[in-house]
Amino acid sequence: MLSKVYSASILGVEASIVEVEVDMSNGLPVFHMTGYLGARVREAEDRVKTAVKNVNHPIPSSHIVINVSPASIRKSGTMLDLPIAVGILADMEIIRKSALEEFLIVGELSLDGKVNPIPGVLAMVHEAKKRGIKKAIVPVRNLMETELMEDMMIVGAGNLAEVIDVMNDDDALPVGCPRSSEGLSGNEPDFCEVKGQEMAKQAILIAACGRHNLLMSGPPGTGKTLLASRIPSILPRLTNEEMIEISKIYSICGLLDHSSVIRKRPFRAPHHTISDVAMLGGGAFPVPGEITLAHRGVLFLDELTLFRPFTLESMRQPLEEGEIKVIRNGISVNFPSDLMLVAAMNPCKCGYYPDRSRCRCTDYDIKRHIGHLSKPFLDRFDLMVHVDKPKYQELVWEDVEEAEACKELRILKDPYSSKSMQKVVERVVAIQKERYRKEEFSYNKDLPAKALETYCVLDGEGRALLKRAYEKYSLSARGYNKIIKVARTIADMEGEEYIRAPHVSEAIILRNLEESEM
Amino acid sequence: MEMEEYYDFLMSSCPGIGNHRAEKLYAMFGSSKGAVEASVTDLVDSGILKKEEGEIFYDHVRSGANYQAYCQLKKDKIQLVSVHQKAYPTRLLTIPNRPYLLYIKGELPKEQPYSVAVVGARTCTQYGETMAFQIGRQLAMAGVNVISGLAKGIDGAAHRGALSVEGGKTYACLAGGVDLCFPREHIAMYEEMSERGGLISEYPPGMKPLAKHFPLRNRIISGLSDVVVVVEARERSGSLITVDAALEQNRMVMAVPGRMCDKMSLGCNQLLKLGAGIVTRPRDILEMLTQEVFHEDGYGCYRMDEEKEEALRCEEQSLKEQEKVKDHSLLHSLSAQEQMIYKVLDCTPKSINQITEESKMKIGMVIEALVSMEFKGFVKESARGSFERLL
Repeated sequence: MLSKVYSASILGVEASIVEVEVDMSNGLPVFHMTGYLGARVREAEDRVKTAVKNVNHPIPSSHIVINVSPASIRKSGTMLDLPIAVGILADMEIIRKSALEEFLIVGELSLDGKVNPIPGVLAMVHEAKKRGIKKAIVPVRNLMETELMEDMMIVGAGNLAEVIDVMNDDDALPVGCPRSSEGLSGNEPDFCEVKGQEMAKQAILIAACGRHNLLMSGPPGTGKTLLASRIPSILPRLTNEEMIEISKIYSICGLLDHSSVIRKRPFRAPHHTISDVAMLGGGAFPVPGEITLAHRGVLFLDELTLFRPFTLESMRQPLEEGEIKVIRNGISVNFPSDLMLVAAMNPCKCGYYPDRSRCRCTDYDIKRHIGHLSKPFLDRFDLMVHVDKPKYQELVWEDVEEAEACKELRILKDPYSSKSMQKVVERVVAIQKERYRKEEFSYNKDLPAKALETYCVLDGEGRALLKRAYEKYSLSARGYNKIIKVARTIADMEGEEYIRAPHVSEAIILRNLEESEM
Repeated sequence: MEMEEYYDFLMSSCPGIGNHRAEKLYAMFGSSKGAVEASVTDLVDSGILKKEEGEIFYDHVRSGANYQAYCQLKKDKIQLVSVHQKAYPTRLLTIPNRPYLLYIKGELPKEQPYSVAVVGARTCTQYGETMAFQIGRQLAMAGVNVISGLAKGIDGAAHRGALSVEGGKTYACLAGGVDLCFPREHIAMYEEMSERGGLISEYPPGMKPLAKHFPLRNRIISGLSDVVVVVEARERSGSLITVDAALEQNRMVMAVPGRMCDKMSLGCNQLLKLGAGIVTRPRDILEMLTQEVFHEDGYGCYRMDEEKEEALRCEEQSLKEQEKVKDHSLLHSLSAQEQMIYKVLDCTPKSINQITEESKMKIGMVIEALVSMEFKGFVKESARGSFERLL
């Protein structure tokens, strides 16, 4: 007797549908599993046998062979426990076989028959939908993450007995999943909570608008981290597809916390001691790294000069391409890494340069400090802003209660509240989408040098200013192009078609470190 | 004579033999030749060297490598002047711990009429740099030798000032061999100075500029000069070591005043409080040299030829003119916004946030005004995001 159950396994950030074939026949009692299975899958044997027995369906002594196909891809994880159990129960004619092909079944079993949560459920359900499977049984604690999947009947199973009921009778369990509270909670970090620092906020706004990578430099304790952590709040709101895309990644990494999908843009701030694999993704069975977890969000590298050079250098290519190919043990997977890179560093060892009354670092020390970063890596940043120490008045609200009371008002009036900034960003992103509709790229950051002339038209004054800047700062060709790109974004923010002198001025002030300064 | 120079080189390049003992050996054996040819027993018996030192000395002067080094030195056109030669600067003869042998690339400063040392901080402000440049320039115009240490900041500005005058001479005392340019950024200036002035060191060529050498070379800077002028020194500054040496050597000390609250000039102001001469204009230094107040129409007993006098007067005049032009253009070539920003600025760097706050203008306008004024030459971006007034 043979039965087939649809299940799924994870490879990279995508799931693939697998068929679990269970054959039960008379013969020597064995439990044999094949199909390129990892150790974690093989452990299913004891869990399945015991769990099935404990829901009062003892397995008769028989010859059991299990194959998971396609047998060419490696399967790892515990999600095959439940489909194997269902296959055996179908062979025992406890579950009707006709129901099997309608369902995708994933889940881990506990000895008493309880269904435990697994990582990657969203990706599996998403893949099943693409394959035209309309129904799915997932662990009940993973049910919340599938809430965005429409047109599917998804059942959260608490234990094996419930699974048997559902498969034998469609009306056995209420269909539909609990919705998590939509909308954002009130305690989002907001830019209006950061006083002063206008220059930095302006730079962040520009960076977010053109999706430029941003480098912040300044003494310790000036709020660089505070500012960076608020950047996701001004990026354009996520679309449903993007939410599913991000949530799939987090689901696979087990970071969804058995709760709802990710509705906010991710903000990842890995510590500077991070290993290459943790940053880029990898491992014996490839798992996403920080750059993939920051996909469609912000990757913040604090204390940039302390990161190991190799880690930074190897990030260059994925930053450019928007994805990274990881090959391990003959498995090749693509992890997405389309993100906004924000980094912070101290301008010198003591951190107080250029405040010469406090900083006693020699020029050589300062050069060596910046010299930790390679020129090609620094080239990834279009903008650099110096964040300086806030004044006392900037540090405290005069009246805490009043500050709380008028927070709502401030959010509306402050040009640098997250809400106002997000509006600007969404508007500028729309302008760029419209302008670049025929191109492969959609942000000013990605403007190639040859397209600059077409899309970045300067007026006379702007051109003159740029020429003088080129001579005065002995800019490299790349540095020059970056100033034009940033000026393009600033002009877009003001809704102007031509780039004028004020836009160029701002881009000059925010220019990145040049070779001559390193 | 040629051989005598080689023996001097052998003696002074021997590790462990300082200036003092080199002179003692010379006196004991009557000449450097005598010292070099002496046996270990003689050296030890003289009571100047211990046994091991005597052996090291004995081996050192007989090593063939020295001759090659000496030939290289001649090839590089590096001169040697020992304390026993006529060419040795008379000013240095009287200082404590005078160098036994000087290595010179270029020439030694002329004894007449005057030499002035201009020293100060390596990390200096725009103000200090401008002042040092003007002092160096006007001293050179008056035909005074400008002596400093080739360091970044004030030293470099003073050298540059002197070199900006046609025929101006300036000299640097180095903390390493004269064949090494330190800091490397000053290589162009170093090259120019070996033609127009000189590089002087008591260390043999190839010696790295070690940290412990710097305080020692400061005594040569002050020793070669009649007046030591300090421009921008912090409370604890290397320039104050030069001042100490100058006082020990009975040289005059002058200082350029700074603002009361300015940390960068705290050392200078401290010196002024202790009685150093005040420099309110470069001519004050010339006055101090001659101990006589100049009349508007002449330079008193310090006889400059008329050409130099005229040049100096023209320079002072043109500076005044420049000042006027600046005031004038300040009013006319700058827009109202730019003028407002200019007023907020100072000769200490201010960040853009600070400027925005003080001027109560929009950040975009502030940036536009700053960039445009930077190109017009009114302000300077001293470090990323910080601006100061140009003097």
